Amino acid sequence: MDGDIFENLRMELRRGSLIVAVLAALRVERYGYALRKTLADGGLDIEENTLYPLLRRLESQGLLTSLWREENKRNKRFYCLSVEGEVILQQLLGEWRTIDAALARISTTTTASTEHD
Amino acid sequence: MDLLDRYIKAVKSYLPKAQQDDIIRELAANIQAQMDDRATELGRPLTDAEQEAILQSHGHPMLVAGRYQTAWGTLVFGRQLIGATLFPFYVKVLWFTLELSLITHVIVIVALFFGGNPTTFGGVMTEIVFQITIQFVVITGIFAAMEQYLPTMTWNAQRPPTLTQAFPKVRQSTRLESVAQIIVLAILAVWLRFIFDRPEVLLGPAAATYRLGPIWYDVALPTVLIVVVSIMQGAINLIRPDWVQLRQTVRVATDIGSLGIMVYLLRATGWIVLAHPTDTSTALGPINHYIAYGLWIAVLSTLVIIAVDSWRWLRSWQGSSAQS
Repeated sequence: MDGDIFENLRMELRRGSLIVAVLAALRVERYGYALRKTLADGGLDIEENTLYPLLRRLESQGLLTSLWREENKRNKRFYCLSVEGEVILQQLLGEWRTIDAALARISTTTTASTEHD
Repeated sequence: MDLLDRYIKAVKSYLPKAQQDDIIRELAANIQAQMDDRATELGRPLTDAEQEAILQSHGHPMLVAGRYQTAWGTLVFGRQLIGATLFPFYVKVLWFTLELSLITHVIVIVALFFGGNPTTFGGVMTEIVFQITIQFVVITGIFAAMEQYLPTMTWNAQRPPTLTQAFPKVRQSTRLESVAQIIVLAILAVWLRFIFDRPEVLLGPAAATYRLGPIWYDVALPTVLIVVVSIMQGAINLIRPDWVQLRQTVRVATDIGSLGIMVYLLRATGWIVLAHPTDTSTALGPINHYIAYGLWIAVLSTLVIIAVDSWRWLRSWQGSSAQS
């Protein structure tokens, strides 16, 4: 039961973070599978069935641009952060830092008051 | 055709037509890159088993395609009954049966009116609401059961790339089947006409004491109409056996029409009545009791048939979409 609750909360926490990670990783042009490897190498595993549709969704929102190009004699769809995507990414990273700092403060305060009691 | 092509074709068959080509082109390129990457690691081409393992890691084609669907929504009653993958199919089947129910009811009402047995607005609404409620419950139940089964589904790489992973394929009817259908239904139509004209043939010696209740004559015309529509469908499929969608659509429509007739029949209390009102009979009560039981069993069986035929209709629709 506790495991289920943790897993659900962990998934919720990851969902938003993944989008920030994808946008950040696409400052450099990449195709789907290469992006998945980059994220995995960076410690963020993401399923293909989640990542590939997510890329299309972000593109339809105007945050990414894409083009078909040949690489190693194979045609691949390369994605890249758009100008609008860069603006949104900066805002999201700012929000991320705010949340991170707030969490650190709340966590420190709570720990200190628990020890004081 | 290699495994990747077959897998991609299977995914394609579950995707909305407008996006099919673009999505599968990209998906194929990504999976191919993953296979190339693995082959480079191993320093040799991948075996079929290794290719299949990569494809299986992506999941069942229906699940993969479901992730690309526009978020239509989900059905939640406390917990999620039908997820985003199946929801578009669920809505499609519900709408289809709802539309057919309404069309069939209109036909039945018109037939009853011209048969000299107009029905009340309240009566019609009660029947429609009753049928729609039952259809909603049955169809929702089937899809909720499928939702539980969906994550355990694996792609069968040995099968051809059709939509047969979950349910048997809707096949074309042979001309012999169409001929048999026309003959059997024609005999049934003649027999029905004969029975309604001379019920004593059905009742035998009991005709001296009993006769058919008036409600049977109310449903005579709609019943014959359903038989005639089925004969026409058989005749068309005799010429065009490849028109699987027509066959499945007519089947679901006639199933729903039959259900409507049965529900209408259930409104009666005396399906068999005394030939002479002044007579008495201790057997009359039990006879009508057993007929009521029989009608309820028929209603439940027809609901199952509607569910199965609706699925087949959906499959025939998907099949034609995948071929085009």
